[in-house]
Amino acid sequence: MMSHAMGRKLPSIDWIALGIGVVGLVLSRVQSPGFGSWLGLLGLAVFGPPLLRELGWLQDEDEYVRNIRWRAGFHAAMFAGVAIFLNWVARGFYINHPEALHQKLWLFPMNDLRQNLVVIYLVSFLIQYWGAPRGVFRILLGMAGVLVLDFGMGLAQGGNRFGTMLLPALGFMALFLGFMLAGAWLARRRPQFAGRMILALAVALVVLQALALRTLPPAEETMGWLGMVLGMVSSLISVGMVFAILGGSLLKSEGSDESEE
Amino acid sequence: MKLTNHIKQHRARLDLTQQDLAERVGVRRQTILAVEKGKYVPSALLAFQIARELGMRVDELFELDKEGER
Repeated sequence: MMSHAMGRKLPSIDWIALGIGVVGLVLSRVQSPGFGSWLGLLGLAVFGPPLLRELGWLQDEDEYVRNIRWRAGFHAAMFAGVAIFLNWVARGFYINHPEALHQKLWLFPMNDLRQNLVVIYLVSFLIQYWGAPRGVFRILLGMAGVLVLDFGMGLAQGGNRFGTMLLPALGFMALFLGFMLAGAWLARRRPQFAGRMILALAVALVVLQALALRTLPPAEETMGWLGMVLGMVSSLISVGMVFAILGGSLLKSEGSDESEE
Repeated sequence: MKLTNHIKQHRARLDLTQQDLAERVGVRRQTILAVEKGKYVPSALLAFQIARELGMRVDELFELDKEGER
């Protein structure tokens, strides 16, 4: 029986989880470039409260929120299935590069898979909870913030040498950031247009990454090269997939913003 | 089959916001929004609670659309 009121504010445990998640996300970027071990805190933040609710120790959610939480979990499980399937599809690559198998260089290493499961669950839940226009707006702003944080940390931590290496990427990052901010702004005003734009960005990422892969000299197929290729393909699928989900959800949405009173 | 509802009209009649109705029935505002938009079909329990707060019967508040009756 839903007997108590759940106002506009999040329950306190969700605020605590949000704080832990933000700390984990920031530390994961600050402590090491890319997804670091601190991302485990984000996992705790995302799945901690739902676990308590699933166990019945916390009874503060209504039936709709439970429903979208389950759907988000289902979407994450579907992603895991697709990732495992892609690893199987890529078996031809591993047959040609058996050393990659020995080093456990998978298209979707378990670490990436776990992190992607958290991201897919979170993105799916937030889009359903806030509605596509508002959800995509906030998610893109968050992603833009992480991008800026990453780049800033790269410049600050890497010293002059790393900083000089990153400078040529500044133009690309500014362009990418501009697309994300424009996508966020348009998501609440013209969701259909923003959806097409974000899907185009996902396709552009695939094409750019493919072009980057083609520039790699095939003669130097060292373990480092294999790791880099698989890492690029894996991150491409992950980032491209998130953009595809954001764009697709906007195309399916109705109206400019679903948060009317 | 699609279930339509008249929650928005009756909520407006009583000058209730989604947040007001949500607090009265003990759910989040997003839940009322999703039910109003037809994105989520509420449980019988929630449907009765909403109908009671709006002073209506459930069958006055919710109905199968014409296509669904065929």
